[in-house]
Amino acid sequence: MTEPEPSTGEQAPLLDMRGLGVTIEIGGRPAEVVRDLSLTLDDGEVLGIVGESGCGKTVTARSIIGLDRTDSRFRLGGQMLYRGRDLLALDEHAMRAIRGKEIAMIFQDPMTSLNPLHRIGAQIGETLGEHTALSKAAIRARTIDLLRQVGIPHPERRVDDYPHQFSGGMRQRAMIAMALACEPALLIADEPTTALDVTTQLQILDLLARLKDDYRMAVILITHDLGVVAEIADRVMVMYAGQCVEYGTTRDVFHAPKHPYTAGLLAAMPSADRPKVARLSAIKGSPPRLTAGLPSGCAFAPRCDHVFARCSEMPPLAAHDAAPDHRDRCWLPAGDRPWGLDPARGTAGSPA
Amino acid sequence: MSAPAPLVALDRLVKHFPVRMGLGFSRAQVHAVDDVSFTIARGETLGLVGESGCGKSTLARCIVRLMEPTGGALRFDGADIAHLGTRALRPLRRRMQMIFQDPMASLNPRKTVGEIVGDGLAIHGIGTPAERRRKVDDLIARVGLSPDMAGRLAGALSGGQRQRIGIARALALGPEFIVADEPVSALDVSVQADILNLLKDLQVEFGITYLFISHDLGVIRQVSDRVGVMYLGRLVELAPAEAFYARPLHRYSQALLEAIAVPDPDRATRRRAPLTGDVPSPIAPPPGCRFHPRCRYATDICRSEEPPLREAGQGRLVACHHPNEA
Repeated sequence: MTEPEPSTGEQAPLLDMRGLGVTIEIGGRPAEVVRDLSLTLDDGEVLGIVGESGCGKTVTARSIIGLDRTDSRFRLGGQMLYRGRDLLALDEHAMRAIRGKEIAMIFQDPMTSLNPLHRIGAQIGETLGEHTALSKAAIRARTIDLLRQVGIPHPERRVDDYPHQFSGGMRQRAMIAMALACEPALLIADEPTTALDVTTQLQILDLLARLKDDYRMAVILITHDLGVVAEIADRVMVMYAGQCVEYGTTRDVFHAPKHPYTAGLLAAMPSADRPKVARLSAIKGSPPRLTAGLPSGCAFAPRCDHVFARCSEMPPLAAHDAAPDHRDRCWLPAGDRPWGLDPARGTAGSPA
Repeated sequence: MSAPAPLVALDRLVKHFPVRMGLGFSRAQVHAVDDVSFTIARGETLGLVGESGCGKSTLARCIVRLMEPTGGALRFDGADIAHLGTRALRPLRRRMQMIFQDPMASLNPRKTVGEIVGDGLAIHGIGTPAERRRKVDDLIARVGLSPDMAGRLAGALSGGQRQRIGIARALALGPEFIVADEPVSALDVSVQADILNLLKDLQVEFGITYLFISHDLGVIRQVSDRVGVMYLGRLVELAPAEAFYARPLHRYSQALLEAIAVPDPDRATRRRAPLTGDVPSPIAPPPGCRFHPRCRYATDICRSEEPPLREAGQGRLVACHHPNEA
C-alpha cells in the first residue's frame, strides 16, 4: 500500500457526506442513530469505519446507498453528494440507476445478496442485464471473467452452480463479483470478512485491495475489527453512539490515537503478537443503547476514565495539533492524553 | 515435570457423523473429530484453535458429553466417561460445565436471570429455595452484575450481560472443569476484555480447569497455558503457549498466525494471503496430510502418508513432515 494521499482539493470528491443524521422510530420513540456525520472520499480511496455494535456504522453505510429510504420509520437529514448530486434528494427511480451501477454494496452474509434458488451466474448476469446493453452471450462471458477475477477456480464450470455448492469464502467472492459487475466507482463493504476464517479473510482483503487498484474503485469498509482496517484502509473513522469521535489516516489513528475510546479499543484487543498480560485493559460499562436517548454532552463520558467538568458539553470534532487531518471529539488538552504512546505495540495506558 | 494425573485425558477420540450424500442413499461419514489425544492438567487452560469445520466444537461437546464419541477413550478424573449413559453422567454434570458463544441462543428468553442461573441448583436439588436464591444472588454479584438483575428477563440483556449470566450459570454447581466454546466471539472488543479478565479471576479463585475454544489467536494467547491446533478433525500441533507463538511448528499453524489482521498499518503493508483455497470437506478429507493441498511446503510424502503426531521437544507435539524447525 502506498502512502495515503491527502485529497487534492482541485476536484470535487467522489462522495461528500455532509451532516448526515438518521433517526429511526423504534417503539413509537425516535432514536437518533447517526448524528451530524460528515466525510469525504476520493476515487480509489479506502475509508474504514470502525465501531462497536449499535454505533451507527451500518446505518451510515446503508444510508449512502439509500437502502432504508422507503422505510417510513427512517428519517434522514443532511446531504449525500455523490459526484456533486445529492443522493438523498433523488427519487427511488433515479436512485435505482445508481445503486449497483455506480455504488455497490456487499454484506457480511453473502446469502443476503444471493438467491439460493438461482444459479450464481444468472444472478451476476441479472445485474449486467439491468445496467448494460450487453447481449446474452456477452453477459455470460463477462460473468465468467468476473468470477475468474475474484478467484473462483474453473469459473466456466462453476458459473452454473447454485450458491449452496460454494463454500463460505467462495460465496463471498461471488457476491463481490456481483457487486463489481458494473465496475462501480464506490463499493460499500459491511463486515465483509467477519463470518470468514482468518486465512480466507486475508484472501478477501487482498482481493479488495487489488480490485481497488485495478478499477480505481473507492471502498468504504465497515467493520468492528481494527485489524481488518489496518490491513487495507487509507483513512479511518471511529464511531461511537452515532457520531464520529476520531478521523484520520490509518497510521495516525493507530499509532497515535487521540480519543480515549479509540485508545481504549486498541488497548483492549488481545494480541497474538504480544505475551499475555496479567489483565487486559477493558473499557468499563458497555456502549449506550441509542433507544434510551443520549447524554447531552460527550456520549463516551460515562465510560471514560478521564472525565472532567467540561465533558457535560458536547465536544466538537476538531484537530488539535500540527496534523489538521487528524480530528477527534474530546475536550482533554493534547498534553493530558497519556495513551498517546503506541497501543498497537501493546504499551497503551502505561505512561512512561 | 512428572505431573499429577491429568483432570481430562483424551485417547484417540473419534466422532463421526453419518451423512446422506446428494439425493441418493449412499452413506458417508463426516470425520468431525479423528483420533485426537491430549490431556489437560488441573488448573490449566488449554486453548484450542482452528477454522470453521475443524471439529473443535464437536470435540468440546464430546468432552462434556453433550455428545457420545464414536470411538476412543475419554477420561475425567481417571474414569472413562466416553460411553456413560444419561443417569451415570448426572453426578458429572456438576463437575463439568460449558459456556457457549451466545448462552441465550439455547435458553428461554422469557425466563428470568435468576431462574436461568439457579436452574442447575434446582435440578440437582441443592439447598432450600431460600438458600438457592441467596446462592444465585452471590453468583450474579460475582460475575459483576447488580443484584436486581435476578428478576430481569434474559431476553432484554446486552451481549456482555448475557455472557456474564452464562458464566454465572456455569459456576452455579461449583464445577472443576469448564469448556468455553467461543465465549467472547460475539462480544464487542471493549466488553470482551472484561469477560476474559473475569474468566481468569474465577480460575484463580476456584481453581477451575478450562478448555478454551476460539478462532481468535489473540484471545487464545491471552488465556492459554498450552495451545492445540486442529485442522479437519485432527490435532496437528500442541505446545506451551509462548513457545507456540514464538515459533509455530506446523505449517498450518504458521499460516494461521501469518494471516491475522494486526491493528498496525505499518505491518500490514500489502502482504499476500499465506494460504489459497478453503478448508476441504471433512466428508472426504485429502489423503496423506490433510493440509497438503493448501501447503506450499508439501512434497510427495505429504500426499501419500499422513504424518503422525510426534514429540518435538520442550513438551511440543506436531504432525507435519516438514515442520517449521530452526
